[in-house]
Amino acid sequence: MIARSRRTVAVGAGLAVALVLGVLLSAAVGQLSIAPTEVVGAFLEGLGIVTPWAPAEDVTYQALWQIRFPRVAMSVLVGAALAVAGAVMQAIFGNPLAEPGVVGVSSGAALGAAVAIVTGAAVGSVASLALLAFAGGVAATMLVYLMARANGRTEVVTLLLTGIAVNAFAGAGLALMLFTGDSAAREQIVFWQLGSLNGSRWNEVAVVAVLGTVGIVAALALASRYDLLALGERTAAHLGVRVERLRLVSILVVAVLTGAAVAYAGIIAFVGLVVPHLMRMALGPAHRVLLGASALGGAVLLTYADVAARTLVSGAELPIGLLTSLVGGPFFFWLLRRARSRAGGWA
Amino acid sequence: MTAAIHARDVTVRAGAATLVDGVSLEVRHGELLALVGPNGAGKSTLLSALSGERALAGGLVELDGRPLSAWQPGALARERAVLTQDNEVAFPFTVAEVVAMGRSPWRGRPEAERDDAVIEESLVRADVAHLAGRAFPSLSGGERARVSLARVLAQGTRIVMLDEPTAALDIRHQEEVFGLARALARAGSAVVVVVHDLSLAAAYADRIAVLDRARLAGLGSPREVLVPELLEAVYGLGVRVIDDPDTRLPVVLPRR
Repeated sequence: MIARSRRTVAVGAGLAVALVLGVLLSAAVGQLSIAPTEVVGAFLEGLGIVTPWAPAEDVTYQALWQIRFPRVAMSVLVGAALAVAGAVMQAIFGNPLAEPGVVGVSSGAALGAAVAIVTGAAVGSVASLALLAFAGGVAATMLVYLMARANGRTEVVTLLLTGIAVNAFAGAGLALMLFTGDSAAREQIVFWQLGSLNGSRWNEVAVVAVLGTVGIVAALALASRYDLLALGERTAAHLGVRVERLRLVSILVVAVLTGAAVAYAGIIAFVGLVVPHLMRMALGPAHRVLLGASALGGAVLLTYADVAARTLVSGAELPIGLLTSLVGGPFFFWLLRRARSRAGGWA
Repeated sequence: MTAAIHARDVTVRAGAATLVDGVSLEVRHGELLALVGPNGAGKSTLLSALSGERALAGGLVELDGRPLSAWQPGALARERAVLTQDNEVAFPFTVAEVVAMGRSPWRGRPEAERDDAVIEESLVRADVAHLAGRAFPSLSGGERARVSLARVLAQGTRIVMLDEPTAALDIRHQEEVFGLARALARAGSAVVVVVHDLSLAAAYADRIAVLDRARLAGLGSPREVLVPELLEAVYGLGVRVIDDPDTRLPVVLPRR
């Protein structure tokens, strides 16, 4: 137990350092290369603290505060939200393969956002777009929950097949939106499907920050109940957990987090699968630690993924969703193989 | 004195089938009641009705004189603990963590100060202290059953319900688990155990309830209930009831 808590501190500190370095790096690299000292200087200057490190030219300051900083903030928030959403889904399904992207919650939320964009509901209001993304996320999560559960447990096959169905339906909806939308709307929808943090603005960051914080705090508050849920829903109920209510609240939490992430960043899959899994292997399955570490780990992963997306190909920007899927797909294969060899079949 | 468990005309239905039909019984504090009967007789269903897990189609269950519907989930979890038959844990929690979960109903209360001592004691009593650091999914069936029993012990309730706690255990651990159940009863708890082994029930239970096709076919001391006529009618098998040479308690053997 002592070894594990020491490990928790070490991993937490490591992730925090990695996050700070990643944020600095992410703000420094790009078409306009900026020294890390200037990044720190500009950041402090924006807070009203003038230091010798403040950038000499105003254009640097403007680039950082108008383009780079909101984008970095968005990557941190979206990564944390997606990783926590994944951990919560795994807790309520009692299954380590549940993930918003895989089971179709992300595409449900993206469909909601696409409807908002095409019908013009999003015009002039970043919040209405988030609202529809949230509604799409709730609908998709509910659907998966109702379809994939039988006799109080979720079979892997059913869960994944439900994901296929939900993804297919949401894909059809997105295609319809592509078909009916004008070219500007189309471009935006295509970017959603690929996932991108490009062009993040402060008002969008604010929406994601509020929703993400609400969702993560709610998830942390439920952490000890998620531990009990691992004993099975009957035993959890015998220990005083109101299981149905916990599930319902958790579905809303997942939808809030996924909706927040998807509304402006599009579908960035596998973050919710890879991050909680690695954290569970490193720190054990107890949810208070797992959820906190996942938030941090998700932020780290997406910050570096965004750096990679911007720098891997010179002169162009890769969609970040493409990158996470590139890494997440093989990881998912590995998980499936392991689950199969352990359980001796598709249980 | 108020009975720990008071069941009156308890009826449970699932669709058209009646799983438990008008069962009335009482369990007092300090008493161990064994629930026996053939497969499908409704033992586990009756237990889940007594625990508050299953809704009743008719009748009434009171714990400590209060109807189940009047209990808040948290308060109920501090009053009665349940060991179910399926002992699965979804993620690789350690044995110590699983047993500690049994203390969760006491969080934020003065009793929580004793958490560590109770967990330690429960691990020892269920003979799983040596497994404390192991991941639950890596355990054998018998080890899982005993760890789950330790979790129930850690819950520290005055009413304990065990659904076939010995199904996966070797004979030494069977005896130990029933010895433990009787020790709980002697310490003042009301204990209900579903069990198939009639001789085991006879050796440890104060009273035995025999269920047959959803109804109560017999209720009384082992000597009163474990008689060939009743058992043959219920199980449809010829049996011989002999006395244990040491304890003078009935031992049930099939006629072969």
